[in-house]
Amino acid sequence: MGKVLKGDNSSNDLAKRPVSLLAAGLKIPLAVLLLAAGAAGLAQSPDTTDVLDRHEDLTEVLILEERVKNAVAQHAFRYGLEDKLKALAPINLVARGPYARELMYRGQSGNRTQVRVDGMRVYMACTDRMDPPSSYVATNNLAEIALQDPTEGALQSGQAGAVNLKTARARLGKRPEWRWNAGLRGQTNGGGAQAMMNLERRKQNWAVRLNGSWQKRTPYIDGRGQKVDFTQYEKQNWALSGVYRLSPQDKLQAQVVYDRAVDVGYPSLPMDVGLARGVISSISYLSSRNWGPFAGGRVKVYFNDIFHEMDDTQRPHVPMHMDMPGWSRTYGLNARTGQWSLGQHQLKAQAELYHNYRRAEMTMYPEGEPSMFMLTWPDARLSGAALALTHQWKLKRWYLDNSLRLGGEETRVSSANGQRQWEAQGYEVEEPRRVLLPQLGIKMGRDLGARQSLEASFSYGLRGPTTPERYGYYLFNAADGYDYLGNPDLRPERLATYALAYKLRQKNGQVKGEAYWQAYRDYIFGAFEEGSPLTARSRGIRRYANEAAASFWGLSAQGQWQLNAWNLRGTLKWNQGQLSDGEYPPLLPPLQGSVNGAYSFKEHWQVGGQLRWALAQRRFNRDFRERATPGYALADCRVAYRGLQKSFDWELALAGRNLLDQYYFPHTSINRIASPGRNLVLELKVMGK
Amino acid sequence: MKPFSILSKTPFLLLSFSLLFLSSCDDDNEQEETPPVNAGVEGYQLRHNLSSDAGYEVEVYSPQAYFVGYNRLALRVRSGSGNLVSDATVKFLPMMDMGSMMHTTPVEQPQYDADLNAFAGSATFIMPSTSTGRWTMKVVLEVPDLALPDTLETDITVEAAEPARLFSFTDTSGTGYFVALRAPRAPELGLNPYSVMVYQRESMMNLPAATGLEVAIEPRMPSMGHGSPNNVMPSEIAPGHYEGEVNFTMSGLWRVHTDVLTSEGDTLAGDSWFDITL
Repeated sequence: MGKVLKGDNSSNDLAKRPVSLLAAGLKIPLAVLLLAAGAAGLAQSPDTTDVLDRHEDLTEVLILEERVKNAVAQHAFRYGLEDKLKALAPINLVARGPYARELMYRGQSGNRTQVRVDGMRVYMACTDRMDPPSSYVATNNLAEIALQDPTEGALQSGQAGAVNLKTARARLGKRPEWRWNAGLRGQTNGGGAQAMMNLERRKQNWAVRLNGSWQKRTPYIDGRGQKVDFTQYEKQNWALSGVYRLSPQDKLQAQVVYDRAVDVGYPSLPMDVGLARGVISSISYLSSRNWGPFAGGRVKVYFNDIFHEMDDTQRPHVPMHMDMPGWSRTYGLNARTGQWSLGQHQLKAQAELYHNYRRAEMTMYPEGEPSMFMLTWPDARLSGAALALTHQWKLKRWYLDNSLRLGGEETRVSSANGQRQWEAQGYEVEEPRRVLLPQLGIKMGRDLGARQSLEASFSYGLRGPTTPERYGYYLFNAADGYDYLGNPDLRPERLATYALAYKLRQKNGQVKGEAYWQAYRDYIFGAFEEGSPLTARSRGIRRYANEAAASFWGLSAQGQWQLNAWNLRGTLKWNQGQLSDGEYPPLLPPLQGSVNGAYSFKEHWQVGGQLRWALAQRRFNRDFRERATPGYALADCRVAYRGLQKSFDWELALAGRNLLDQYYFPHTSINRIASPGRNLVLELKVMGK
Repeated sequence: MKPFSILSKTPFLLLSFSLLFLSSCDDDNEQEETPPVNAGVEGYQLRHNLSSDAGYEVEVYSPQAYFVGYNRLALRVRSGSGNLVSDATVKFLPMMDMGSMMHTTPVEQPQYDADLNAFAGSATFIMPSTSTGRWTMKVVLEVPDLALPDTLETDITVEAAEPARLFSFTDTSGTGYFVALRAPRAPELGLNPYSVMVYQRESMMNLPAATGLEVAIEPRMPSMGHGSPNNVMPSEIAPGHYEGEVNFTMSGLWRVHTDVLTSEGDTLAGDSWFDITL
């Protein structure tokens, strides 16, 4: 572990990584696809141990080029974070507006995709899912996005997949140095601007890094020339991180992120967000000393505090003004060991403890009458603990990855009002609910010659019902128009995932294809119920229930090819599913893909283009008021010039998105809100060196 | 693990310290304070103090000023020496004098209640005091050592209630009925007892409990148009006393629609409600 965090230069790090990963692919059963830095560094010298330690648990890692300073990284087409995420085969995005897209892993939204920030649990404070944890991480502070499929079950239990957003950290330097960069961005569609900076001081024994970003957007215009109301937002994000070397083998790391977004429009929903504030902090102890048989380890304690307040005062035709604040506070401890090598076997252990408190309120103000109040999350507390072991075994051409996680969760309602509310619903809630959550993963692979491999995996796990599923109280869902009621007596949801993957690695590129099948039992889903809804717009009531079953399956492929100054990449993905009543599930992404290419010349210039497309989706869920969604194809381009000065580099880039000004909306855009039409983005970056 | 165990114990330590502190305060209080005068009838206020010729005193308490609707009353009888008397029989008789006519109002005659340390009953006033209508209350006291009952009388003022706590209706045969809200008195989120008293007017001087009826309720929030689940329909638990449960899923103004039906299910009153705000 010590090697992982050794304070070397991050740009060198990234440049070396791709090669080491290709090398690693032969040694251990991992497939790491680098999409951004990509094959850029194929010609560089390997530094295998560093990369092995960093990425061994990850199926796919996306490393963002914001941190890549060397000119060679220009080879890859550069685009926004959203496109990068969508370029990952298992990932789709649910949109409620231009802000805070929710990540879906293999077509699973909501609580079935686990999103963490630096390995920490961050639970939303918004009852309408307006603030996925990804919304508290600024793009220019995001270093890596690590995907974990359920066979690598150290982070997740019963989830379709996990996404860990790793933020940039201060790093120790072999010699003292300052690092900095700054950027400005403006655009023609949806005015406003974005400013970014970071400043880092590196010394041999300590380092500090400050990262800041601010952006303001005004509503954008869609492909038909119509302004899309409530697509504005303003956001600032500050992150301070530090590291201190206690001894040659031990380090302390600390980090605090402050994020504040105001006036955030959510066109899919009947109201916007007045204020979303997040404070995310952690202190880690890292050691490369042996922990018994394990080579080093890491312990992190963390705390985060999220506050969220909705705002309907900007909307016309509000039947009744209401306030809806929400609070979420999480404490946790993560511990992780390094490797224990036993011949061909490698073992690692991981443990976590976590506790989350959530409360959400709704106060309505009818004219001339007393205000109305209810607790939509009734001071719910969720505590959990888990222990996980991962095992890797390499035997000639075969390899085996196993993981076993044993966890437990306890949930309860901690306020008297909340208890009364739920007793009136006919539930006994004084006693906490406890569930045992095991998760097992097995992946078996075989190398077919030096360049190809085939692997089959199976995982089985239980997912504990979440606070909204257990104790959500008449939460209006703008997607289907129903008030959702929790069900304190839910059983854990069970998920078995089967996957088959094929990988081809060539000198100049790599391709991966995958097929998966997910079989859910006790699938937690909103069942219709007789009764009167509580919110003004609601059509009725749905209550979470354990449905008998649901199945999802899909295919994906992604690849990249690098030749001299040319870089080509592509992704293709298809998801399909069926609920127990034979209906299609809601928010089912259609067959879609992207292809992009970039060409670099004269060391300074890069030009690139991209095609993004999706077929029409005719598999939709009527109960969720879905309809067929037309397909679309979009063209993007980018031209950049990089200037190299003595003490800094600068880059001026002009990017065009949706060049043909297509009118479209993805099927996973709730309530069919149109995406932006043509947009030209001008960006200037200055990078100290 | 050590820091954690200390952390987790800290609240308990603090709690036990504060408990110590609180209990010592209580000791001091007990030594210094005499029992309050209203012990047993907390939440009630003294409305009248009537003196009988024989030297007895009758104190009349109610939780709030008399209003049109169901009024809880508590009466205390004191002997000449000031001791509370529990083996008396007390009856009261409210009367409305409108000049041209007089009528009484429904009552539950007082019974001795050891918890209240008083005789507890109720009067359901069916109209407010007006310039032309005067309410009086007669209290008839029978005590073992008095040969004859002693009748005491006082003027009282009955105010109109806002929101209404009583409604009336007339059935097809012309019989008048009064429905008064009895509970909830202090509504909370969630399930609350909901009870009404139903009386019928047999004559101006006889307004007995109306028995054998059905009462159906449906709470709704008028500004939202929604209701609530898991309400329990009232059933008759004592003559004229119908009790069920009402679920207030959120705070605010609730309109509890209260229908009165015959045992055959014919609607007698179908468009009446009580407004309850919490």
